[in-house]
Amino acid sequence: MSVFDTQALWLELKAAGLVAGEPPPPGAITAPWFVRVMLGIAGWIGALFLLGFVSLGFRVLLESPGVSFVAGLMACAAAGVLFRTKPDSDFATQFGLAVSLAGQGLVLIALGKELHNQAGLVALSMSLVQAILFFAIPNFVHRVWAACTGAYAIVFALTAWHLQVYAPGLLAMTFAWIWLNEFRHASHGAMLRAGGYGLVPALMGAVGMVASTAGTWMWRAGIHRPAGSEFHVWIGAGLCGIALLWTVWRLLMREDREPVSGTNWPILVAAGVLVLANFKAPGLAPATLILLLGYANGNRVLSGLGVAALLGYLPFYYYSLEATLLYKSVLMMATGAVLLVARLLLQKYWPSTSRQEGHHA
Amino acid sequence: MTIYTSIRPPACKPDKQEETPMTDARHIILHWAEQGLITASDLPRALAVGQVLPTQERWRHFVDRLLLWMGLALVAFGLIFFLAYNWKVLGRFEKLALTEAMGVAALLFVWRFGVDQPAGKAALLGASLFLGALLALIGQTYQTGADTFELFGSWASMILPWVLVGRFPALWLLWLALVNLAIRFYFQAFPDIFGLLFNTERVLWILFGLNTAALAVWEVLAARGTEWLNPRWAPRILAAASGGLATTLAMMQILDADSASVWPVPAWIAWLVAAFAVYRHAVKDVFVLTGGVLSVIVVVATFTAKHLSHNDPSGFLIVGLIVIALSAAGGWWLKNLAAEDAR
Repeated sequence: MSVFDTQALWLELKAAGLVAGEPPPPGAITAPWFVRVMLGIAGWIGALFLLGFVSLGFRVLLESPGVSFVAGLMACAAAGVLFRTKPDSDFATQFGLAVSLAGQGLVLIALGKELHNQAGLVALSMSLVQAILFFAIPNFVHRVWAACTGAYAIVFALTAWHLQVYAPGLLAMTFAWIWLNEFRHASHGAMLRAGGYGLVPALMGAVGMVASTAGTWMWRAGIHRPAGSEFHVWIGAGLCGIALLWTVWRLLMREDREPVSGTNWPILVAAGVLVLANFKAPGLAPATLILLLGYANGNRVLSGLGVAALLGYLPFYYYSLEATLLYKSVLMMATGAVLLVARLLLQKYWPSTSRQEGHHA
Repeated sequence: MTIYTSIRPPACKPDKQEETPMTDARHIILHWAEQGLITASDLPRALAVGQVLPTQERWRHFVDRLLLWMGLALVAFGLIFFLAYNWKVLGRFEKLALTEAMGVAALLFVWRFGVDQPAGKAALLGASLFLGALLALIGQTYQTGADTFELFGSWASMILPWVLVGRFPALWLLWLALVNLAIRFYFQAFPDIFGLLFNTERVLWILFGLNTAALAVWEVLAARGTEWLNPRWAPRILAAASGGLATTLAMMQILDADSASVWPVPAWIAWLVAAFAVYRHAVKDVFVLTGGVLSVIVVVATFTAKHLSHNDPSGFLIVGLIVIALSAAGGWWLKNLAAEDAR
């Protein structure tokens, strides 16, 4: 959108009584999402070399957990100062990112050495560190990283306590809450969005974690068997389904559509069948949730992540061991068939008013 | 509508690096809301005025497409899972009949809707997947002794007519993926007598050539006005494949200069120059240029790490600082390129 378009948008909003006065000057130039992904990857590579420098040049930092922990926190604090004092310097923010990541590495090493037989406690402590960094460091890339790794740490902690089946549901509910309230808490929108993006890989990672540690084959081997076994799995999968249904309901309300009405039945049928399928294909509801909220908020990046999550989940599901391939195939074909029937119902009960309908792939 | 009723106090200071490239209405309106220029209660209306939030008709279109593509994907993958299970209760003729029936049903949908309708394109993609499943089933049932590359090669050859008439980017990418796999498995079945490294390099060269040629043809035809080639996601995937292979080749030469040929690094440099010329000027695409910057960072880091570090801590520091400096400079350049559209 050009400056002219920006001004035109301002005038449209002004005509609608939504803004007043002259249009503000253009905001600071910031990076598109893929540039920020590149900066994050490069920051991570830089952090690995900085960690190598520390481990070779200052061995004492790694030998003592206490020293390593304090040094790590100091590195994170220094990065925080850098982000706050030089927010417009590209080199300073990139250097701060690498220093902070290296500091987090030192903290993790220290916690691992000090609490080496208490994986749950290490993970929980790390999630606390990431939560503090999330709020303390005002940088979008860093916040996405902190949200993602902090959520992963919670998943690991739950796994260590044999409660991992609840992780996807809890993350899905948090994820749904964030994006459903993106506009309500507009003044904190940047922070909410960073958290929301960070939860995407954590949510799908939690689905993978449950599939690889709570599958029946592991139970038979007696590893990571949660108390109450399948009962917990059903509740955990049900939480994801509830997050999807709650989201659909809220979006229908947002659009001023009476949720239980004739035109909405195809949507509710489709959501319902996905919730049911999610009990045995536990990535379907989370991936659909990501896609749905991305579209609902006009967020193409989030929509793209939802499509990638769906396309990535189906091959993963082939190898996961929740059920036999026969069971999975019947489940998928039946679910797919119901969705196609729901589409026919949609065309009947909510016909398109657009002449162009049907010509866009 | 309860979520829109509260009015928030104006803005805490927004992140300096938040996602406001000022290139679309969503980012601009959210940025203004963070500055306190639009109240939280007015924000949904502002987003609606800016055509950011979907209208009822756009919602209907989205739900329609979601049900179509998700339904198709689940049915197609379900069939593939079913055949992979090799259920003994069903005989080979029943399995063949089932797979063929699904393929024929998909083709009937193509005939009914035509290849220009989304439902027709979805059915054509489904038919292409069912054909692959049928070929795999024939191989499994009759133990033809065919190699894996023959499965993918035959599959790619047999769906080529459908790909040609489909005018559908996803179908072209499926076809290219099959050709890539056929080449990959061919060299696995017939390794080079000169050794593993040479064989790996040759495969990478061939795949690099294939994907780069496909990218070039795509861009040329799109530039000449072939409308269905306009969506950028498909050439971006091809550019990522082409650039990723060029980067891998360059890293191989740097890490093992004795065994690798002398051409990968010059080819990588040529790829970078060509990508800059095309995607900076002819078809401006900052996504591809971002991939180029990442490629430079990775290759330079590999080169400096190979020649500087080992057991010297200062070497690690130097490489780390080089990576940080390159990425900061690259990020600054890319941000300014992206902002050119906003000026």
